Amino acid sequence: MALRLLGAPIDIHAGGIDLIFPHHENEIAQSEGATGQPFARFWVHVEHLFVESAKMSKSLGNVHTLPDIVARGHRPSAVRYLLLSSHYRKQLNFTWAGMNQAEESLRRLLDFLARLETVREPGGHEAMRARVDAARQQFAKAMCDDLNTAAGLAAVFDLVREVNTAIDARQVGVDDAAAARSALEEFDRVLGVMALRRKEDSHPSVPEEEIDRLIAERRAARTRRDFAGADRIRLDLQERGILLEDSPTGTRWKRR
Amino acid sequence: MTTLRLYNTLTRQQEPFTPSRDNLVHMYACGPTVYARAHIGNFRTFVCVDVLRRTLKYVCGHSMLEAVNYTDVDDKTIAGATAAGVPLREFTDQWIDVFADDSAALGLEPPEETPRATDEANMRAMTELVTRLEQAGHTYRSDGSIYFKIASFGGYGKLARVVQEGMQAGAAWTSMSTARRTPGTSSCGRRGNLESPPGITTPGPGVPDGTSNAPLWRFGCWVRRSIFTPGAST
Repeated sequence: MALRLLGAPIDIHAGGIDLIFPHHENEIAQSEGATGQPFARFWVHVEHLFVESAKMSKSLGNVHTLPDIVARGHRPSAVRYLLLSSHYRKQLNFTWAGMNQAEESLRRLLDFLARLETVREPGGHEAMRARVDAARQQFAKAMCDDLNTAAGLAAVFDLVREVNTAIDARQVGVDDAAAARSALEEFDRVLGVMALRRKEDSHPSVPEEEIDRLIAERRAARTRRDFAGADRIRLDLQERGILLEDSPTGTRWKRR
Repeated sequence: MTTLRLYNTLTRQQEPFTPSRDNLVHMYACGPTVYARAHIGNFRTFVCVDVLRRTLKYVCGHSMLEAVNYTDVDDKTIAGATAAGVPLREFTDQWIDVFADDSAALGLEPPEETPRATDEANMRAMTELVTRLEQAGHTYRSDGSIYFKIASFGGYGKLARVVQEGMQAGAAWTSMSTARRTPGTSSCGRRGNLESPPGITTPGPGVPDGTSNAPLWRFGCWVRRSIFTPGAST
């Protein structure tokens, strides 16, 4: 069906590294055997993912799905960040510490974008403009070097750090801030993490009226000493991305 | 425009990539087998392929024609549908929806095409391919299935760099249960696993031994999940 839809030769055929043999080898044999034409020009294979240094297996209970990770208090945007942060041809070790780092890195990027909005000095600086252009080039160069996402992210964070320092020193004008913002948006068209997080922020995973209703139900359950029932409501909301915080003044909720 | 240097498993080196037809990249990625929820190991591949797609579009300035297939018929999907007591298509529909949800949550750009193995046009294309392979003398029939003669294709092993001589007899390592294991073969059209997948009818020519409605559903991407008797490789 690859040839039916795309025609020969396919420019790029991609898949997980475990498919090289026999699956992709057989695809080549059977398509080229039938057509006599080269099947695909480039074969791209993504390396394995390990979980806490172990192969994923049902017996180890470490086969995580996206909802499993969300239930542990993480967001899909951070999962995406972690999955793309190391080079695709290197094995990636998924750890909860790594998830936390991914959350932190993503938070830094969004904090930086928010901070750019606070710049008020008019105009711009030649040095800043040059710095942003250099970051653009470094990022494109890294991605064109066999999708070196790790180097691409390094270029992004170098820029973030230097612009932050320059804002501290009041050396950033609104034009510079606009240039930096547009560079980050350009990077994110490829990375796809910042836009994703903003989308998550703008859509609470549970409608607010429903959260309020569930908080009231939980309070009622506790009043009648149905602590198991109250806990079920809390865990159910947590699974859906909403954390409840009890305080002397009542229960508040927040997005994970 | 910036040129992507891409590692090619076929040549074991980085090569500059440009599309062969105008500025349109024809890309194919093996999608999920839809019998359960994909795990993050699967999604590592899909996220990385999405980064490749976005780099080709937004850094290199190419247009994309990308197909990601759903393997919606195999031993696992059939077993799942049977256990759930629903038609195969209905069973795989739900897992395709789940995959689409997770993909959207992870910010994957939707590919232009998402073919399913059981789409009629694909079944027909697979059948035609098997016919062409037969005409070219690349196959033989045995036990109600059609097998590919690996020795008939000189290029076999060029991607994985395996040598044919090292292949051992009888060392089948897929979940095949009914087809005969023959050294140096991979299956093309496979006879249905005792019976046809529930809810699937085949447009194929079937096989000449009386099981004429036997589906050729083993023939996926071009081939999907081929049975094979590998043994020693390089």
